Amino acid sequence: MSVQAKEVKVKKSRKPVMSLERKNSFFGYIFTLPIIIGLAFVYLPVLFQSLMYSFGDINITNEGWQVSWAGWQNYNQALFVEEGFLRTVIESIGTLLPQILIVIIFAFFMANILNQKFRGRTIARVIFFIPVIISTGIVSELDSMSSMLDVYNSGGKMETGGASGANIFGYNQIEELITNTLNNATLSNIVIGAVDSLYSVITSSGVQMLVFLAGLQGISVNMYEAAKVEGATGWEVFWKISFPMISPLILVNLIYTVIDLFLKSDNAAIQFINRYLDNASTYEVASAFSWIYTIVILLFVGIVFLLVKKLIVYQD
Amino acid sequence: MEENNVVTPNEVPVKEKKPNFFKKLWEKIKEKILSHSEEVMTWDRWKRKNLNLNGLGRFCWYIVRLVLIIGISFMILYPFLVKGIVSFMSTNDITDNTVMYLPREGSTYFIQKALTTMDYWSALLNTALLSLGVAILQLFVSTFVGYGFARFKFWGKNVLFLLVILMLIVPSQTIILPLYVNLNNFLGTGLSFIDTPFALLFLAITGLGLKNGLYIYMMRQFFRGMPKELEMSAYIDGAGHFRTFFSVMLPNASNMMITIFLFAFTWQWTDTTYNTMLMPNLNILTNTIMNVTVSSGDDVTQTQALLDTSSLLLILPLLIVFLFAQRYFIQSIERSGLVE
Repeated sequence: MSVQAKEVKVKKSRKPVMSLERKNSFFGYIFTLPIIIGLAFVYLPVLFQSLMYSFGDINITNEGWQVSWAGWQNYNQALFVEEGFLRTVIESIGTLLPQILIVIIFAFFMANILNQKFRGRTIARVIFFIPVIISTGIVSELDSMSSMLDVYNSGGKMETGGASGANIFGYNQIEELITNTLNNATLSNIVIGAVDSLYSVITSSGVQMLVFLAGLQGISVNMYEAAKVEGATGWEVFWKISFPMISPLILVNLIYTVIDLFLKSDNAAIQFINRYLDNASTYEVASAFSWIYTIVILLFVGIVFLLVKKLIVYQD
Repeated sequence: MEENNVVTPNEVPVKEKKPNFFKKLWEKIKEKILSHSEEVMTWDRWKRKNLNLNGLGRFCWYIVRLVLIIGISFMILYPFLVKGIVSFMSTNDITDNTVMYLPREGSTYFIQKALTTMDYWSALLNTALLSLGVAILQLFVSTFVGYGFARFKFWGKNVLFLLVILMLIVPSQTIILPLYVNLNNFLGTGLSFIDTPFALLFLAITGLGLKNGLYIYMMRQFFRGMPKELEMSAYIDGAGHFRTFFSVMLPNASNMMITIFLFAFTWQWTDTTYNTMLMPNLNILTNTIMNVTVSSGDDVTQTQALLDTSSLLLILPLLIVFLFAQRYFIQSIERSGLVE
C-alpha cells in the first residue's frame, strides 16, 4: 500500500515537469519563428537554386534563364581546369591566420582600455567606431574607384604628396605624411610597413572592439565590488571575472573575424570569384567556386569552434 | 672672516624669500594633484599611496594608454582631416602644387556640387528612413530569435542554429542572383519587390537581412552569458515567458541592443550588395553617389576631390548618430549597476 502511494506521488510530481518542457519547446518555436519562416520560404529555396546553378549549365534565352543539369562539370572545371583557385585560397588562409589572432587580441586590449575611466573617453569611443563604417560597403567600393582614377592621373599633384591619395579613407595619406617627414627611404619603408599592418588591424577590429566593450559593460558592478572586498588584485579580477564573463563573446568575435576576413572584398579568393561572376557566361563556374569556398570557410569555422569551445564559460 | 659672519644674517631673509615662492608653487601643485584623486585625502596619504612601485606602474600605464589612444585616433582621423580640407578647396587650390593643407582661396564649390549631384537632402531622408526601418526590424528579430536560441530547448534547435551560421558564411555573391529572381516574382505570385523598400524590410523581418545571422549570434551569446537566476526569480514571481523577456531580459540587454542597432543602421546605410542589386533605381545615397563619377566630366583631379567631398557627406550623419547613441551607452552602464 505504502509503496503504491509513493509511486503515485512520484508520477504526480513528474507531470508538471513534462508540461513545462513542452511549454518550453513551444515558446522556443515562438521566439525563433521569424527565422524559421525566413529560412523555410526564402533562404533555403534560394540556396538550393544557387546549388543547382553550380551543378547546371545556364542558357540565357529570350524567355529568361534556363538551367540544365550538367553534373560535376563546373566543379571539375573550377578545381582542375581553372588552376590557381585552390592555391589562392590556401595562400589567403596562410596570411589570414596570424591576422585573426592579432585582431582578436588587439580588440580585447583596446576594449579594456576604452572601458577604463579617463578624460575624453566619449570622444575616443566615437573615433574608434569610425573603422566600422569605413571598412565596409560603399566606402571600400569608392576606394577602388578612386584608386582607378589615381592610375589615370599619372604625374599630377598626387605623386608630389598633395592632399588627395589613392584610398578615400585609407592609409595612403598617412604613408605620404611619413615619407614627407622622414625623408629617408629605408627608414620610412620600415615605418610604413609597420603602420600599414597596424592600420589594417585597426580597420578590421572595430566591430570586435564594440562587441567586447558592450560585454564588459554588461558585467555587474557588484561582482567587482565583491572581489575588491575579498582583496583580489587587478590581475585576479581580470582572469577570474572579466575573462570568464566575456568568454562567450570571444567565440563570437573569433568567428566573426574569420568570416569577415574571408569575405572581405579585398580578399584574393573573393576577387577571384568576382572576376567570374561579372561574366554572365561563367556564372555557373563562379557559383561552383563560391560553393567550394563556402565549404572551406565552414571547415575553418568548425575547427576554430572546436578549439575554442573549452575556453568558454556559459551561465547555463 | 668676521665680516662674513656679519653678512650671513643679512642674507638669510633674502634666501628665505626664494623658498617661499617655490613652496607656494609646490602647495598649489599638491592641491591640484589632490583635487584630481577621487577620495578626499591628505598629502601624506597620497604620498604613501602613489609614490611607490605601484604608483610608478600606474603612471607608466597612464602614459602608454595616452600614447596609444592618441596615436590610433590620429591614424583614423588623419584621412578624414585631409578630406575635410579638400572639400573646402577651390578648383585652383586642387591643382596648385604649393597648396598642402590650408586652401589658399577656399570655396564651397565642391560641397555645393556634391550636394546637387547626389541629390543629397532627399536621398538622405530616404536613406535615413530605410536604414531606421531595417535596423529596428533587424534588432527586434535578432533579439527575439537570439533569446529563443539561448534559453529554450526544442527539437531541431541545433540544425536551425547551424543554418543561421551557414547564412553568415555563404558569400552574398552566391545567393544574390537567385534572391533577385525570387523577390522579383514573390512566392510565385507575380508580385515584384524589386526597387521598393519592401524588399529589404521583408528580408529584415524574416531575419535574412544584411548580416542578420551575426546579430542573432551576438544576441544568443549575450543571453547565454547572463545569469539564469534573473529569469528564475521572474518565473517564481509568476511572470510568463513574454513578460519575463520584455520586462526582465530586455532592460538588461539594452547596451547590446544599442550596439546591434548601430551595426544594423550603419551597415544598411553603407551597404552596396543588397542596395544596388535589389533597389538599383531607388533614390538613396549609395545609389546617388555613383552619379558623381558620371557627371563630373574628364577632369580626374576634380572628380577625385568631388568623390572625397561626397563620401565625407555620406558618412557624416552616421558619425552624428553615433555621437548621440554614445550617451545611451553610458546610461546603460550606470543602469546595469542598479538593476541586478
